[in-house]
Amino acid sequence: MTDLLVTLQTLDDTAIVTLNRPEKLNALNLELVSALRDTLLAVANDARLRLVIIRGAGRSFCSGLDLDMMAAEGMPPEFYPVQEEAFRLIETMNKLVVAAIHGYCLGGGVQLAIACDLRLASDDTVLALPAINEGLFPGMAPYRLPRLIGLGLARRYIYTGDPIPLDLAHQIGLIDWIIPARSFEDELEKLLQKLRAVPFTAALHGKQLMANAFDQSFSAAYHDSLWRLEQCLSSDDVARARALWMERKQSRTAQRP
Amino acid sequence: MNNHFPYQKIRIQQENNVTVLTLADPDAHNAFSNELLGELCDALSRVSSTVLLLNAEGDHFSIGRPPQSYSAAPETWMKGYYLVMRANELLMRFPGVTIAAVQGHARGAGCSLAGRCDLVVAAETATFSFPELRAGVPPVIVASYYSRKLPWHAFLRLALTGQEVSAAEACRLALVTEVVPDHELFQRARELADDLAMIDAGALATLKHFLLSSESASTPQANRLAYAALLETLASRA
Repeated sequence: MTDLLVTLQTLDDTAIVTLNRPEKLNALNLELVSALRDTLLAVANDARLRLVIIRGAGRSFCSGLDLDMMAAEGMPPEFYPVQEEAFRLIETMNKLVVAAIHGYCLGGGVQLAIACDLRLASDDTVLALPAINEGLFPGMAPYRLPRLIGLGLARRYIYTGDPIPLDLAHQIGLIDWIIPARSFEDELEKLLQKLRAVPFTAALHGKQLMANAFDQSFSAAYHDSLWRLEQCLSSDDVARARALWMERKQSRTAQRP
Repeated sequence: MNNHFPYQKIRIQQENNVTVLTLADPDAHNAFSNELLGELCDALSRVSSTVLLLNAEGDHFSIGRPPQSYSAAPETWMKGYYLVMRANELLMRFPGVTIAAVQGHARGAGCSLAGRCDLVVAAETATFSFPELRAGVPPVIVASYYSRKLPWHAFLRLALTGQEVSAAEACRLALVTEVVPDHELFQRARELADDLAMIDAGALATLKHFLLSSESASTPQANRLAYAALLETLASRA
């Protein structure tokens, strides 16, 4: 099915969502964002899935807004709401979502990446929010980026459209892991293994608490956390961790002379 | 299940103690045409359950009265406004809990109907507005309810400017009770409906009846009415 603009592969609890318009460096047009929204909706509604990887086919992750589309017909009225629906699904779905980035990650590509829970980037990645050069602001990045990297740096890169140096992106938490381009697949697989072992219930409650971190009062967040703590305490993960601790403790006691 | 209800513009589904009433004219953005309103009134006068969940198919809850209705013949709009008034009345008299699940636009009579439900769950991208005045129609049916239920200036702002407000702001104004991510709207509303369907229907009907009957009573009168209502409910169980 190479004609699909977004492909979905699932293996056990993991979904791989691939932007598949490589000849255009996965530039975002209405068809692509619609396909992305539909795919992510299916992923969000699939209770078996826990981990979602978003990546780009070909030489780049995503080069952002399709400038050919802009030049020819402007921005179709549905484009922006559908694109934002897709990004918002990433933030609100009960899954851990990881952007696996390589090559160009520009504009809408960065917008997509910062809606994800985590970002891994190949060392050949080029990051920038060049919307300003097209007379635009980068969608909801002015909302999301300050939450992630702080207002000062967000202002600088949103006003200037300058490339964000990769080492800086790493330091400020815009990129969580940088890996060599030549071992991208191996390192990605290692990271996935690590994330598959993350206790899922706790991770999700953490995700939801963090989603409201900047908008809720302490009182509301604390109240919310009480209920979430109960959910975690009654999960299998906590039961397993407790049993493991007990086992270790007993073996230490037995080893004592 | 739909056989008893031969409707074109709405759908009814009943299971356990929940009735789901769905506005089902998405191509017209669920505009409150006379046909849709007629079916809505018919349904509301016939169904009874512990919970009524009012939701809508398509991108928008309802854009309110159809734009072309403003230029329709007098008998058409006279009937239309009668039906709007009647639907509001029937909804407010519903003996069970009423819940609205709102996505997209809720405008005019659509907004007014959704907001009259006991609980209003909104998708985070939903918007609420009363744009009637801009079309030269005084939003008096809206005012009959919302001038009392909303803070005074909040009501006037909505009624005078016709401005769309976001779900989050509608929640702050208490027009909406809960805001959820778009893709969770129907699931969340359904969970809420199923949870509330376990409430004792008699106790619920007493509360709802009391709220209506005590609306114009003074506080001491309401206190007396409450006492009488309690005795009556408890006596009926003995």
